Amino acid sequence: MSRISTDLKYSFIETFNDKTNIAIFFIFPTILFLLLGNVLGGLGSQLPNNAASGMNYFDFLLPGILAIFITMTGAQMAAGTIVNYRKSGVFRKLATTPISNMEWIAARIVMWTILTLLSLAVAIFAAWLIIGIHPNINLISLLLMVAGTALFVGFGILVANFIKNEGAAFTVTMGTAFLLTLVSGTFIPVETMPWFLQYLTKISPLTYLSEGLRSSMITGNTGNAVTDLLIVAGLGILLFGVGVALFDWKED
Amino acid sequence: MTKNVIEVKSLVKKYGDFTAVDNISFSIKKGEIFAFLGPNGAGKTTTVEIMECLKSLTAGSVNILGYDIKKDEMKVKQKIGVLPQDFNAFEWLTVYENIDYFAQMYPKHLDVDSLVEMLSLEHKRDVLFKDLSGGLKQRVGIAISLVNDPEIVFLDEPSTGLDPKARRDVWDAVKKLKKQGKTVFLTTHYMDEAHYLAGRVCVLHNGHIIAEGTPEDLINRYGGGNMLIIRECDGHTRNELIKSIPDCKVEGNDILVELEEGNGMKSMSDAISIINANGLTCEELYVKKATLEDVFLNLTGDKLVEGGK
Ligand SMILES: Nc1ncnc2c1ncn2[C@@H]1O[C@H](COP(=O)(O)OP(=O)(O)OP(=O)(O)O)[C@@H](O)[C@H]1O
Ligand SMILES: [Mg+2]
Repeated sequence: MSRISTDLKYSFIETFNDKTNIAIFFIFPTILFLLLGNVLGGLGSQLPNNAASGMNYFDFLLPGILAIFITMTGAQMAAGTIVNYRKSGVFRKLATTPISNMEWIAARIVMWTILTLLSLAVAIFAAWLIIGIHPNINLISLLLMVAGTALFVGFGILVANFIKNEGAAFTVTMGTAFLLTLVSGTFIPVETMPWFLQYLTKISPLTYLSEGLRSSMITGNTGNAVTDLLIVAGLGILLFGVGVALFDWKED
Repeated sequence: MTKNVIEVKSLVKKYGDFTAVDNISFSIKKGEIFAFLGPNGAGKTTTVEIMECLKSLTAGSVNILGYDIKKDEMKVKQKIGVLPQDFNAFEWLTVYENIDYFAQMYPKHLDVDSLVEMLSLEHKRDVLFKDLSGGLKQRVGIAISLVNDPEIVFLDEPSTGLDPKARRDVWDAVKKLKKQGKTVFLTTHYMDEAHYLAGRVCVLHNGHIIAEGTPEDLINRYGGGNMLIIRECDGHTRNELIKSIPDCKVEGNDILVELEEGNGMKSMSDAISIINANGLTCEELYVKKATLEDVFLNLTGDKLVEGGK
């Protein structure tokens, strides 16, 4: 336990000793939320009829934006850190000490999830305080975000198992996130897309994450939200399990 | 009779079809500083990484402090300290934080500040690892390798790429380990490093051990003896010397005379009399002592067989 808590503690210290990370995790998302909130918040006429009263268009898009954000940060942090530590030799050194790769990955999963959620929390809080958005976060949406982060962290770990180069890992995680965003239905209606993209929509975990968040935060359809939560959690366990099972820091 | 803390028997490591370590055996006693000396690709890192439980072995056995590395990996890890080749710690943690991180990985560990002091890192205690020079990084690596007060310390090329001053500092640190009674396993491709630090040297080449012994012993056996060098002779001088000293070698404008063991003075005075008697000229005249460099050259270049010249 103390090995896991030590890694957890120092992973936060390492992250915030680098002051640019404060900008990346807190300032940048906050500014993005404030900007989007301001621009999109005025587009009240775009709102569908089933939205709760008092909502603006940004509130309506918020679940999708949260889902996209989770996809990008979770996967990128996991893949980036693993590829970097492998290349610099930190893993080789760790492998000579008693900490096991499973203990290490457990600590980092907690860290990446906390950091992703913390970063979102700050942005949401600032947008609520300054421009008065209506986030409507409840237990199901919170669980969805945790499950979603773990899922994409698992995806990042999986990517890092195959890709040993930082630039390539970045391209793959971001490219995938971009593609999934495109088909998630947040910005472009799925019906207008070619059939193969519509098919991708059906198997993309991001779709279920953003739909689940939308159901729980906007339409209040708890039944749908729980179904989506189960799908995200199930896919999460799968991806995560495969990613972690393949994860090894020894090079034989 | 001190007991062996490392015993390696008939160790083989293959990467696919390629045999990187080919049936090597050696043993190391408590308190020894033992060096693996060999060029790039000799199989040094492969061998140490097997001993450190980082790599699997293809055949043979490795016993560390009485534990079989295949069965008791965890017990071995608790008792050894490792400085890997091309060592890097967490870039964005300070020296203190890095040492503390690794200290906390062990149930029992030394006081972090005492390690900072031992490696003379006090003035860099709160500096980020990424901002350190190469030599300081290696010293932090040595400090980290000592956090669990290990009985055996493995240092894989601890001074490669460092400037002379930083190399000296690393060497001083290794000497300190010896004073503390630790067993040190060192790999290097610097002959002078092996000579200065190690009590015993194993010369590794293409995955084979080609010689083993104390540095002096190896130099005596394989170094080819001391050499009288007569530098920058003119053509006439060279011809005269070649005529009078049939065993001599010519290298460019230099004449090299191998000095017979125990009878070196005679060869030297002979050469000098020839020069004087004939009014010959040369730039300078000196004796070059054999080094581990020569040992290596003779062993690998000339395919010298066991026993030496
Ligand atoms: N993972 C690997 N897969 C295939 N071949 C490898 C692998 N690791 C090492 N080798 C090969 O095995 C041989 C021995 O490598 P090793 O790293 O043990 O040498 P070394 O003596 O430590 O050299 P250096 O001084 O360059 O560190 C080399 O020819 C190397 O190319
Ligand atoms: Mg090596």
